[in-house]
Amino acid sequence: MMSTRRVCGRALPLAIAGLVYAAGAAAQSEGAVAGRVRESGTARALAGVQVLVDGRVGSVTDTAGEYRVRAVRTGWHRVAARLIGFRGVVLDSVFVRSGATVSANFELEPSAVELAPLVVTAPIDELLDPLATSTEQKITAQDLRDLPVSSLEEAVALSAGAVGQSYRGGRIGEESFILDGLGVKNQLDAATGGLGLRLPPDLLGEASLVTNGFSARYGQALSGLVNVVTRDPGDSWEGRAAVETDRPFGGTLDHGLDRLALRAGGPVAGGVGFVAAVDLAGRLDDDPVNAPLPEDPRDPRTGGPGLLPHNSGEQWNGAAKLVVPLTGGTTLRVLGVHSEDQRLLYDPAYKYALDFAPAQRLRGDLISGHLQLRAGSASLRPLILDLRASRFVREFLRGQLDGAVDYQVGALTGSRFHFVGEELARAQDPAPSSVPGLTRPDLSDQTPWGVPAFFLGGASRGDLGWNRYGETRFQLDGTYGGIRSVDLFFGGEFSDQQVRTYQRVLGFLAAGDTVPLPAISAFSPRNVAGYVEAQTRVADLAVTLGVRYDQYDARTASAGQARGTQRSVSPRFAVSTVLRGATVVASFGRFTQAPDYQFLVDAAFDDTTRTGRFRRGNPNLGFEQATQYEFSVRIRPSEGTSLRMGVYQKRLTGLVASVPLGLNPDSTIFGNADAATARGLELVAERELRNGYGLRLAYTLQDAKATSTDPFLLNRVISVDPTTGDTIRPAHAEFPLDYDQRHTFTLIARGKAPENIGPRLLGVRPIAGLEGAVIVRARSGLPFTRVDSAGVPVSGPPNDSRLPWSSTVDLLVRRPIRLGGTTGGVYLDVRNLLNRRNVVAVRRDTGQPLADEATITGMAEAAYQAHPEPIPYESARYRAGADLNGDGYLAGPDELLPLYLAAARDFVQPIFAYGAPRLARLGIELLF
Amino acid sequence: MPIVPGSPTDLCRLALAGGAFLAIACGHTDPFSAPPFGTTQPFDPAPPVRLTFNESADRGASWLPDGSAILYSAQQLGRRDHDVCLAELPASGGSQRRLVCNLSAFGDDSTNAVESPVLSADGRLAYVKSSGRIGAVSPEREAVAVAPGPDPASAADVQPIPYTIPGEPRHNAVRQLRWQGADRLVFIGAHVAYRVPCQFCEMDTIVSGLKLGVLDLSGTGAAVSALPGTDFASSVARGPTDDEIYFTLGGDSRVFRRVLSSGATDVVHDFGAAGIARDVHVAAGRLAAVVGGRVAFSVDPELGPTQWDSGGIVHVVDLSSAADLALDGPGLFRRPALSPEGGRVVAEGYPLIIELVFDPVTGEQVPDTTVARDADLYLFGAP
Repeated sequence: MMSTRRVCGRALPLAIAGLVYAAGAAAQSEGAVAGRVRESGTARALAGVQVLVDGRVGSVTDTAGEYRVRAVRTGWHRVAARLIGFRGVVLDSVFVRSGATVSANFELEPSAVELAPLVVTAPIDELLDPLATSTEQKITAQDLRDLPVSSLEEAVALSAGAVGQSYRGGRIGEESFILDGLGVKNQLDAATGGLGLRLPPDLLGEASLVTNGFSARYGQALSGLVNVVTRDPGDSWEGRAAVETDRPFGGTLDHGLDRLALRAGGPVAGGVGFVAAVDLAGRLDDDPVNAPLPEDPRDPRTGGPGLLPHNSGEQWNGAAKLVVPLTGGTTLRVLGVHSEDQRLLYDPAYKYALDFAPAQRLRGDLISGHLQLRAGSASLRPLILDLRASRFVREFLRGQLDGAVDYQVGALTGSRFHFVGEELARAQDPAPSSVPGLTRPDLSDQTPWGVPAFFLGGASRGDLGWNRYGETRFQLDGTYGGIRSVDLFFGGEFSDQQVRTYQRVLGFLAAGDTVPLPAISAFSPRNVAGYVEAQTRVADLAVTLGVRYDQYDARTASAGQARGTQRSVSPRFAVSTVLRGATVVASFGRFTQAPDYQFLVDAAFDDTTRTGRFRRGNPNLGFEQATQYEFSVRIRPSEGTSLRMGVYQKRLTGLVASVPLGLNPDSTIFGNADAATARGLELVAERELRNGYGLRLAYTLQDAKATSTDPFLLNRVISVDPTTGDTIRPAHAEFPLDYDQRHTFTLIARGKAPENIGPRLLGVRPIAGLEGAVIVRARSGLPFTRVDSAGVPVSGPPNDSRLPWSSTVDLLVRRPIRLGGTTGGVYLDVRNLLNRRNVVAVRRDTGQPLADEATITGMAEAAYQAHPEPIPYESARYRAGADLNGDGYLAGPDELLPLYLAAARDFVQPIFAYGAPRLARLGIELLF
Repeated sequence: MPIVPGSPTDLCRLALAGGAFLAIACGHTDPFSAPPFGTTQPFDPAPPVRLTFNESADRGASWLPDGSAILYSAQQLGRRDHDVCLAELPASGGSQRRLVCNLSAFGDDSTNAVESPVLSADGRLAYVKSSGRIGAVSPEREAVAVAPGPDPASAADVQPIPYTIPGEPRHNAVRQLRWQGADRLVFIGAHVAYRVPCQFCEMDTIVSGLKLGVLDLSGTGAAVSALPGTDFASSVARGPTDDEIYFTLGGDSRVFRRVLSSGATDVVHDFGAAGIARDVHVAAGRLAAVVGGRVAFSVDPELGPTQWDSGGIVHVVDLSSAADLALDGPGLFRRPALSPEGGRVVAEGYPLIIELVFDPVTGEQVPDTTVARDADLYLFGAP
């Protein structure tokens, strides 16, 4: 018999329902199955036992009875053990997670005659497995379907330690994205621009967020890695079609959403499998806000349902995968992903001239291939080699559209945006002449207030930005199991990158004295890395030890400026054991990543700890680095419940920030100047989905502070000793990082009604089989810096103020249906169910979303002083209601100033200071 | 749960799915949008209708070929650069449909002007384009520009100004630009001088018509020529055909007609004792002109023969019957333009200003009537 402690009583839903599991040391697209085989009754280790995974011999036990089957694809498998003279045992439904080693022990009964193998349903407890040394939070395809989330990013954001797409206080983009074991990263502007590639959720097999001492196999990340495994085609053709919309709700619940998701896959011929998915989504208001309506009835937003115009977005994501089994256990996998994201950007200054507000387009393409070679699977020296290659291209454009948007279905256009000057940008035209098609904007006369103030019209601001990032990557990973009780991982990667950027401002003017020349860059960085890692287990003690070498050379065109090749060595170490039923893990890791290449070139925006400036690039930037210590405990208080707790401290050094250049306080340059410390506590308590309901509560306590020696900053934190009267000038200043969210609570509750309960209505039980999920989130506020009325930071360190707490309740209810033999479901997904008005930004001068009356009055009076001229009747600016004396002119402060005041009040509306309102979508899906 | 085709359970589910798809067929809610703020009603409909209230000059009005709107030049005192912009008004008055300024790449760093705008029958816009430093007495760059459509920003310069025609004095200004067919423009080639008439007086711009010019756009490059026999021309208008123009001469009460192909010239109307005729315009068998008023033709010691014009009375003449109708209105008028159907006239109106001036003879303040320097546009019905 097999070990009942391992196998029995662990319900099948453990693998399905758990949102987060601790798992193996390596985060990859495959896992492993390991364990011991003993003789039943005597506990004698059995050597030479064949262990089969899905009918193929994966390993043979050694003299200690131990075995390990490596490189098992994530998903359900059937694991069997057989030996002549013994009755075989089959573990049905063993779920292997990526990067995890599943323990499966067997006890075989001697049998003189050949008997049918004993089949056992075999749920495996990964929580207590000491081989799982990484802090890994999993998301399955089922989670994406069952929870009120629409994308992988939203699902990952539910993880402990995540603040949106920032992890453990890190900057956005400090994570790495691993797709089927292959790194994909936007190294150009990840801090501000995103990856540019979105996998259709329907093609997701499993994903996880790894935040601690992750495997030495992975680099290019400081705060964590998002590991995604795509699904393989099944043994038979299957698929899913789903349509979502918010049209039926109308009014303020209709934000113009339409989404279509399709997936189909199955065997083609000769063992070749194919699976593809597309996800088309459009929303007329793609960045909805819960801002209060204006009080002035003349403001068109007063009577509007809440949608912002010129704020639509559409995403087209498609992916296809081909799996080709070759000879000798070799498998070739080819994956292609194409993503397009284009959106109109609502700009309050263009509220009344929407055609000239900016728009942007982001496109990403990935083609990757994976060839796996296995040798000696059934021997004592198994070797697995994974060779991967990929080509990733990302292109970004932002500017003024050269025509009206032609919507076809909702916000879906079916065509690509085209921008004024797009060809110039793509050709990186250095000519200083103005951009054809761009003209100078003027103050709009199409506002309810008429007066020439605040609102622009007639033309765009004349900005044009383009960049293109390409990367060709080769990666070789090896796994060698020839050393007893030790798994040896080794490999390396090489990536050749191409960076092209173009940025033009005030494009309606020729570049010259006051208009900067186009900012253009073209260079080809190169990255090389290698690693070796060993994982061993002795009884209940598991140790992982690895070291990674990274090298990068920016190879900028500025000869003599670049620092040249830079190198870094990063050790990783983790040890874990089981103490009194609890698995204890301690880990240490050093991590490096090359800086965003946008910091190497001029005209880059934002930096690590302070935002919103325009600075000179620095081709001399070196690695950003982090060193992290973590201690975690995992226990299972009762069957079906689990508790995980971890504390960590992470020291970040060499963070890119702007530093003074010379003595001119307005002149800065990027440098590896900042350091920071992030420390925190993460707590996850979970009850598996049993008896119709499951719960998960995650809490994160975090403190992430930057350390700076910037002399300009230090001047703001000078203090006077009250006793001695001495002026104290500190050697450094500490202040919260931008993503320092102190407290984060996330509660996920799921339930499912039995199939046969509830009253019948017209022959249907409406609540039978009903599934529901609720996500409750509460977060403390992010930090921000107060400024005075002139925009100058007030005394004290940056980020010394905080936004208020925010909270949301999201709900998804699904009713399974069958239509003519086809299963499916109808579901209602509601976000921010309570329609809470969360403040996500404030004015830095008031600390509130709203400007104060003095500010508004000051703006109005300044605008009036700039344009005190009368407005004649025939002018498009004339507003009859303001002509108090009816003489055909709007003239003087009595008639004009109220209009300027109303215009100022309109202009400063804090539209984007508020989070999303209540959003709902109705969906129907069919599985076939 | 299995479904039996046609059972209530089945129908209910089908209805559910059908309802979802029907919902998808619904339209989305529209985002908010601002309503139009303009009007096509004049401020006061009493005739003559005052179309504009601009505190600076509105001038050079012309009708769109379909009579739906009026193009004119409107100086903008509210702008730092005091641009003279292209404006378009509905035919009945009301709010400007468009106001195009900033025609220079330098934007509000320079004063840019669109003068004498006129749209051809096929929709091309011609105008006199000028630009210069803010506050400069005269423009630094000037040209005749033609746009392929109504947008002046897309125009190309076709004839720089000043220009010299062999045998003719140098023309440093172009006035009263008119389309004469698809590929020809006629205009007054003029000389402009600037003079301060007295101490503390504002500077006067004195325009002396020299000769009518023709700009031929049919070739690869524009060719400019002068029409003989049009010395001291004070106005020009397109005739009923592309081969016919009407014009007036300085100090003359007659309106002349010229056949361009033959050069034959005759008098179509003589206002006689009513005074000097100028600013002629012809449409639909009617002729409009400004006659009499404050106008004088003299030989200036520096400028030569010069017509000093502060405006007069708008007359409309039926060319078939020679019936002459003087249109009554406040103040004096210049540059009338007949609508394409001939039933309306838009003209620059210059109000009369009565102010007290010092009389050096009596040593007292006495009332004096002057003419405003800046005009607004007025619309007359022409019965």
